[in-house]
Amino acid sequence: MNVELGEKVVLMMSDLQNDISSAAYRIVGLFRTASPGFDKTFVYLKQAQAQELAGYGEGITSFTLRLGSAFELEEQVEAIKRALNNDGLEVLTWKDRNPLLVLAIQAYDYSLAIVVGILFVAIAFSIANSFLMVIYERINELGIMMANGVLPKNIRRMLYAEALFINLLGTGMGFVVSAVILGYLGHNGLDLSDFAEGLGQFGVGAIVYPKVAAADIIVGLVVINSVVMLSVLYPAIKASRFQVVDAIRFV
Amino acid sequence: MSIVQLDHIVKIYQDKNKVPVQALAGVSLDIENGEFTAIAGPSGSGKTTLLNIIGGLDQPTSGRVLVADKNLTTMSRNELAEFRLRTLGFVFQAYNLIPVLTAEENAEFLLLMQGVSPEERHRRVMAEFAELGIEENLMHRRPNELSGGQQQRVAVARALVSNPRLILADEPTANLDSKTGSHLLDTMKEMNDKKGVTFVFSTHDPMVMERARRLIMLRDGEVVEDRRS
Repeated sequence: MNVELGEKVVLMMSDLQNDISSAAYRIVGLFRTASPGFDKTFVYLKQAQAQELAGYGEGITSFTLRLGSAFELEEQVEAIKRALNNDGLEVLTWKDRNPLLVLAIQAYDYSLAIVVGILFVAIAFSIANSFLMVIYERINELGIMMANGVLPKNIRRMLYAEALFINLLGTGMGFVVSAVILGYLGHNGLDLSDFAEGLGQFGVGAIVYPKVAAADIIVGLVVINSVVMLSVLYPAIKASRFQVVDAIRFV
Repeated sequence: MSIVQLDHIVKIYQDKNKVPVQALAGVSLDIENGEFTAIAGPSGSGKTTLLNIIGGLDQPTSGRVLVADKNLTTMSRNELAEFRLRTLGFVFQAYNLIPVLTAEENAEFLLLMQGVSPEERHRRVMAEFAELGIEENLMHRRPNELSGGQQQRVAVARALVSNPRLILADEPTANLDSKTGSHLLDTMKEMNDKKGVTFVFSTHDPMVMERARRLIMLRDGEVVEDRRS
């Protein structure tokens, strides 16, 4: 707004009687958030000054409650409604107040799901391909086992067990590395100042502090383990169907 | 009493140009319990194919294969695998030991598959190693740390340790020098005499043919000679 501390600004608004009301105020503080749009839209007055400007007497238009947990939003809203006993007051969640933001989050979630889905398909093919290569390098060994009486289903089980072991080892190591990185960034922040202007459009600050919910970790572990075990199905079945007489001669 | 009965075995397969090749042209023969038999012939005569069919590793195009009174031609893959585990032993030309296992682990592999306890496995493998002249210090070595002769002895130990009724050996001396090969054959002959295990060799090695009590000559997929000494 190109104003400095100590300067005066005049605020004009429609009051409760739909008349134009105005008053001059001296600036005693300036704030800057991550969102330039927000910064240009809001001014803060003392409650009495705002009530006088708007002609509200001792009334207020709304108050905002910051709840302890986003996961209990609906339950807490219901509790508030019961406490107010429908006394002519409207209780709105942040979702009700910001439908566009909700749509934006949903769109982001859907596109993220598509991207992650494509990523997992690519990972699955990559794992299947790698496992196939491993199996083809061991055709002779697998043929010897089958020639000596190992049942095809036990060949499959052996390969599933190998894949599971490697998978658990990999996810364990990945978990540790991720925990270290996220722990550091969660504490110190990830500096995205180069993108500050763009991020500001979405109300995101230049320094972000990653946070991962336990549910996200569990879902991620379940999904990646499932993808891996499904990926090795085809190679394991293929290995168990090798013709023994050809496999023992394979060089 | 016959442990192997082959009845008009024909095997036709397609080569890489999809041209049909007749490997066996109606072979019929019986092998008695306790025999030390060599199936000999020039390259391409069908001896390895015949051995693979007797061992349930391959199926004939037509004909009947009875081994230890079991008709292999009617068995599923799982039944054949189970049959090989319980009844047969194999010794291959290329030793075919599992590279990531030690000598002891290779030898006890079949016993492990059969569900034998660790103590019993160790006892039987040690006894077999002693009979075959495999030193104890070789037990924990992997195949790539053993000589050809040592590897083949371990392969023979693996075949014998599960007390099979029939051992099929496909050119077991082909990759060994004559002294080592001769020593190995004498050991196998001794096992045949001592334990009465039936041995059937596929070979073109004169050393094997000399020791065999029965020599079956194949040519172009047919038995052209069958003599006992």
